[in-house]
Amino acid sequence: MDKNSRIRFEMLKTALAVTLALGLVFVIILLVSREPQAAIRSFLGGPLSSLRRFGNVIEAMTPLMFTGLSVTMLYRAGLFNLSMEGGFFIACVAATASAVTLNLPAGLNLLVALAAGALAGGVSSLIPGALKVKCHANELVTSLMLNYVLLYLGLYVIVNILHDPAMSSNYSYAFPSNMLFPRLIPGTRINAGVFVALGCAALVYVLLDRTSFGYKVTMIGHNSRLAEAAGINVGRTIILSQLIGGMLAGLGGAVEMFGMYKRFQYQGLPGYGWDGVLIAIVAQFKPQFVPLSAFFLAYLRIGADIMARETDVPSEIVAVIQAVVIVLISAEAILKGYQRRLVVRQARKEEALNG
Amino acid sequence: MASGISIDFVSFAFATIRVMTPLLFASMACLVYTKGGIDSIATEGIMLMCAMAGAAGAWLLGGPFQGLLFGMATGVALSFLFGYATLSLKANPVLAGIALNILAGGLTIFVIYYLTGEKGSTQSLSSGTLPNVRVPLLADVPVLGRILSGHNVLTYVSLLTVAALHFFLYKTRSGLRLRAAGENPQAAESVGLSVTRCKYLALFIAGALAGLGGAFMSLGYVSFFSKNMTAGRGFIGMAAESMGHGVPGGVLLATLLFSVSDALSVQLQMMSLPPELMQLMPYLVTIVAIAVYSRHRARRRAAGPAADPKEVKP
Repeated sequence: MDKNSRIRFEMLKTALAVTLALGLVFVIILLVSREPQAAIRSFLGGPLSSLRRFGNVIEAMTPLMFTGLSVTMLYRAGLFNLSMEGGFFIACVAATASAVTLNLPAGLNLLVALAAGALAGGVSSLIPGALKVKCHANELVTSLMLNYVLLYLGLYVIVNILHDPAMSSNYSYAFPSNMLFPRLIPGTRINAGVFVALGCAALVYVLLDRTSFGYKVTMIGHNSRLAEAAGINVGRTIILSQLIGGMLAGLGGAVEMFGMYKRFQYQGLPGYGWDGVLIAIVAQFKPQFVPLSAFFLAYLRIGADIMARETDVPSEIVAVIQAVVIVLISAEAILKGYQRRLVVRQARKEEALNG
Repeated sequence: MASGISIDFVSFAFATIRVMTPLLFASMACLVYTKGGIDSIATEGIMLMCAMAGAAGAWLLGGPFQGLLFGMATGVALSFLFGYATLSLKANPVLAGIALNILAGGLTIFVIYYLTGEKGSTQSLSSGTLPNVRVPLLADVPVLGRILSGHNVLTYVSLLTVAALHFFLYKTRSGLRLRAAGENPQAAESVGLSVTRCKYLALFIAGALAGLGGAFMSLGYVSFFSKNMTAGRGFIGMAAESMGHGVPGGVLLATLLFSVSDALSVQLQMMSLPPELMQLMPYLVTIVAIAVYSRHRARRRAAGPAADPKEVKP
């Protein structure tokens, strides 16, 4: 199959997966809701019904873009490193610690705090990557365990060091207000963070598709033995890719803190890392499609929230869409017959051309 | 406060066995999955759904034993669903497992919202618990009786499961076939085994075990379902499986290690050590143990296959 028909095929498969998932959710809503029409209307149309609500979609998109890019980078080298979930969280803690303790001038304070977040996220993902390269430890298991280590470590720091005694919950001291990302559109919380995320998408695209590093990472992901035989330093490339992947999640956590919050408020892992898996899959692990894919999930989330407020259907229904979409897009057997026909048609065309 | 500082050994040992029960079901489920050549990351989500199904089933069907059966049936059904997605639709197993875990996190809340009108827990439903068992004779032995007797019936089931699985995997024909299908499917197929049937047997057993572990959470450990109550126990099962060299006895020991550090963290919290740092200890221990074990195994393998007759997989 040539490049164009492969892209067309993948897009068709994605569209089919999304349609089937939405269809299944509508059936569930019809079965359980007393007001199914109203529910579906607020689910699909709700985010477009006011500027504030559409603003919510853009706000929700920002952390999702970062974790989607993170998963894209982590997975490209062929590793199932799931530490972006804990990495996002510990980065929020690190950025908070930097912001409320260092007392730097506003702009510098923000930059240092963002760097602290990126570093914390990077180190988090580096650990399972390095254990994989150095000890051959299964990165899936170590990264899942690491997420809990990072959760409790982060909570320890918040509760014992950064906790604001004036707050009854385990919230941190407030961030200096002059360092927060400015809100761009009145009536919404849309902030410059979304542009940082888009910039990162562009950077990751260049890194993966336009540099030798990106080529090496992709080659290792396809066949690490071949890459090794070709003289690539596989271990170092994997470790670097995991570091960068984690830094993306970490930067996302820091951007979320200073874009959307006034102090650290999480009581548990926020789940953006797992969302990143869906986003990366829908984007076919291509950074240029991550913003669109993040918009898709953010739209569903906000739509589901509106539906939950206005009708009797709880917002957790989105999990059904996420699960069905992940399985169907990653399912190789689906549309296989169609794929084969495309290949055959292509071959015939080439045969005809070559006479 | 002398009593607060010394650890009461009997209650500590009792607590260790109590917290070990769901972990042991989880790690045994992961063991069967792995032996059958199936990725075990979905165990977490399956257990969570079964915890919900156990409580809901007990309430709907009128008793904790019915709830237990309903939970196990749910586990088998979800395990088969995972098998269908990965074996028939050829979905990437890790991604399909993550999908199932995401689904479980949302769908359990969705369902209990319709059952109870709230999203946190099913405490308002009276679903009851499975009975605790006073083991005859053993209960009268000093110290040991107080540690080993009086646990939930599923605790004893979980321990018996370890022995039963060892017997099944290594002493029966079906167990041998299941391992063959997992270790080398092409070779198994070439001698006329139906690999698909073997894999579905593994999916059945592991699903039922995950169902037992999940149902224990809501029908034994506590008497209701609360959201995300499995809290990573399925993942710990994966870790214990990989630490335990993939044999039931070894996995039991790895699970015990995890349970001891879990129970210890509760005890130490009572001595006003920071609870968060105590809670992260078992996970940290697991990471270190897996790293050390993997390094050791890789070295042994590098020394040549003859040095390690147990290793069959490349």
